[in-house]
Amino acid sequence: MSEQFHDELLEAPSTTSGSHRTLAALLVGWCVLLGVVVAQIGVYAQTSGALGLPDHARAVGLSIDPTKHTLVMAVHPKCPCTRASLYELERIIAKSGDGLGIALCLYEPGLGDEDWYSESSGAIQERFPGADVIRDPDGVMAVKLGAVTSGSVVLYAPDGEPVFWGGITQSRGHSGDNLGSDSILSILRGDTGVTRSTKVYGCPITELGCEDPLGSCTDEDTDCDQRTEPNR
Amino acid sequence: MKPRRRKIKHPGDAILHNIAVKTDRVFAILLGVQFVAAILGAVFLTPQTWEGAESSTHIHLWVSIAMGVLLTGFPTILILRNPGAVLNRYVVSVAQLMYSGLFIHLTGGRIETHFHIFGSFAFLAFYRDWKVLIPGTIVTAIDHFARGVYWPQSVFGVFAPAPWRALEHTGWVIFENVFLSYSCIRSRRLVCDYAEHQSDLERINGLIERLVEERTQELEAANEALSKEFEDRKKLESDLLEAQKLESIGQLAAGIAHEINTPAQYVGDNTRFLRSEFGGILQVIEEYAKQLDKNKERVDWDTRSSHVRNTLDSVDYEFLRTEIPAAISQSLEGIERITEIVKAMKEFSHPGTDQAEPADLNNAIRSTCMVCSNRWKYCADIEYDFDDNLGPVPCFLGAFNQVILNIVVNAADAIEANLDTSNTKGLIRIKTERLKDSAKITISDNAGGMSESVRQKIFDPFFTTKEVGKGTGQGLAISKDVIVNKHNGVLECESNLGVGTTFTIELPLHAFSVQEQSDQMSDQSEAA
Repeated sequence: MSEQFHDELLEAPSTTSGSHRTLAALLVGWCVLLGVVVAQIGVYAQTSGALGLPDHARAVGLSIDPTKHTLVMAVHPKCPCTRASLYELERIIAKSGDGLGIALCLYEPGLGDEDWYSESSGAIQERFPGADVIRDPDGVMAVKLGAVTSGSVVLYAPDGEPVFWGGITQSRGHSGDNLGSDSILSILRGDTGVTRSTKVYGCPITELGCEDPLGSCTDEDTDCDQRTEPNR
Repeated sequence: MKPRRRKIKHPGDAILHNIAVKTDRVFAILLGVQFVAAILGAVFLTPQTWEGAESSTHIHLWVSIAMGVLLTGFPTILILRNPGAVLNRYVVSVAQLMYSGLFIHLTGGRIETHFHIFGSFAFLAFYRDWKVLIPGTIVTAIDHFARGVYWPQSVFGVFAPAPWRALEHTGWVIFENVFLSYSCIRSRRLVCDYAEHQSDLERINGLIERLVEERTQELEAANEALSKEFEDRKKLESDLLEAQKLESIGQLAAGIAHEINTPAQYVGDNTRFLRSEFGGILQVIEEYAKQLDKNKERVDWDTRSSHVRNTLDSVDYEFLRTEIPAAISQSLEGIERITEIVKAMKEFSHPGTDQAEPADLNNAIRSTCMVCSNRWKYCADIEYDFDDNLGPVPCFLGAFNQVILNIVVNAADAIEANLDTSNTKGLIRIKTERLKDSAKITISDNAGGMSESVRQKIFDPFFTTKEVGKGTGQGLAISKDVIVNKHNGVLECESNLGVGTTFTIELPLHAFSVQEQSDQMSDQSEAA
């Protein structure tokens, strides 16, 4: 760092070169620490949740409209990250119109604790009029859907076959353009050759979490080819 | 500690540095507020994270605290250490835009939160330094590139569905910053222009102040000269008054000498007559004494009577019996006349006092007229019409006598000049009267008056209608000054051409003169 640079930057030219070095060190340290914290945020935001392969709608126990696609989302009512998923769901509904049925599977812990459902179902119903709001004690249905992470969606074709499953956010709790939403809208438009599965970001719904039987919860285990084929 | 060296190359540098210092302080506060806002945002938006029914503190809270400490702490320390330093604003720029990223992250990427970026750049423009926008722009670009391009690629194996969106966001930031940079450059130029003008203005002000100071000194010198001149003039006027009095006395001396000489002459004649005739008186007395002597031989009555009668006849006793008392009376009258003249002279020559003192104006006027009687008695009579209730009037007696003398002598001179044609004695009428708040003295003559053009100039210094050597033209000018300035009174002149002239004097009964008041005020100010 030249003397002139110090003159202009610090306007304290009489300071010793030692203090310059200290300041430069502090500056570098500050940048490094910021980088570390930002990296932590990035790692957290980009750490995906567990995702299983969904069963056929009948196997899951869903009654779907045979005239249109149905999008089912597993929701942990208290997960702050799911806000972004619900926001993205609104955008998908807005773009797809009436050609899409919506079902929301609200998780609640077992042992008969009904507060979660009653606390959240009203607001969900109000926000998504016409949607089926399904109580899911202990996340049993979520496991059947393979949607053990809050915010996971499964798109069923009118015949009950799952045609897409995964997340509709770009990172954890972050709304915005993402591959999942684009894929669903493409499928609804009838496009072919689109991505059938994406990573999901959110709070784990069940204790099974990453221990789902399909073994697709970790990045290392991710096998897109395998996951793009629905379990029939 | 050595003084800080700061290169101020332009008058505007000081202003810009001052702006930088103030903006640094604003940002120190703003960063502190954002620190609190970030923690509150984390607490309210993402207080906990869940795993099924289990919850724990959300990482956002810890991140908010850690980021807050870094983003607020370090810039604040720099600002406190050296406010206004260029490094501060670059660090602030990075911190501010990092806060934008933090808030966007905390709110889950809400579109509305992105306005924080644009607001931040607008705030950074307060520095009036376009370069400060660069670190913030780089931070924003890296953030968007990472979120919009790099991470999606790492996640999906492909670029984001719309990678241009990230570039678009950066583009809008650059778009804003182009205008802000232009604004900064223009604002900087304006500041520099303003500083140059201010510098010029200060230089001109300095010149004006120096000029004002010089002019003030000149004015003070002129004022001192004027004051000195005023004092000199006052002294001159006083000297002039005294000189005129002396001149009057000089001019009147011959007449006064004549006035005194006449009674003195006949007092002397009478005394000499008494001395010469006193021998005859003694002769008669001695004859009577001889006739009464018992030791003398006896003679008859007829003889004695004859001796006495012869003696009486020889001394012309009948003449002595009538003339001696007359001579004594005449002598006494002469002495009284001399006494009166001397007394009048004494009164006229009153040296005057520094302060107005009550005086009998009737007596003063009479004495003055007597002093100058030689100037008027051959051509005019004086008729007195004095107000017995006039009472004492505060005045400067010496100066007042001079005024009366001037007016009476002028009247006498005018009458004398008129006498050449009319050949009858003129009349000078002097009247005094007491008004409510003043004493009024009216001196009128029937000397034929004067034209209006002359009347308007009679109080002007050195104006005279008398022939050269007879008048100086100062008498009435001094009289005006004495009555108006010294007594705070009124001196007016009315004249009817072909008839006569009337001078009116009014002296206030209970007022100091203007000059006296100003003298008192100056005395007070000097004392203060």
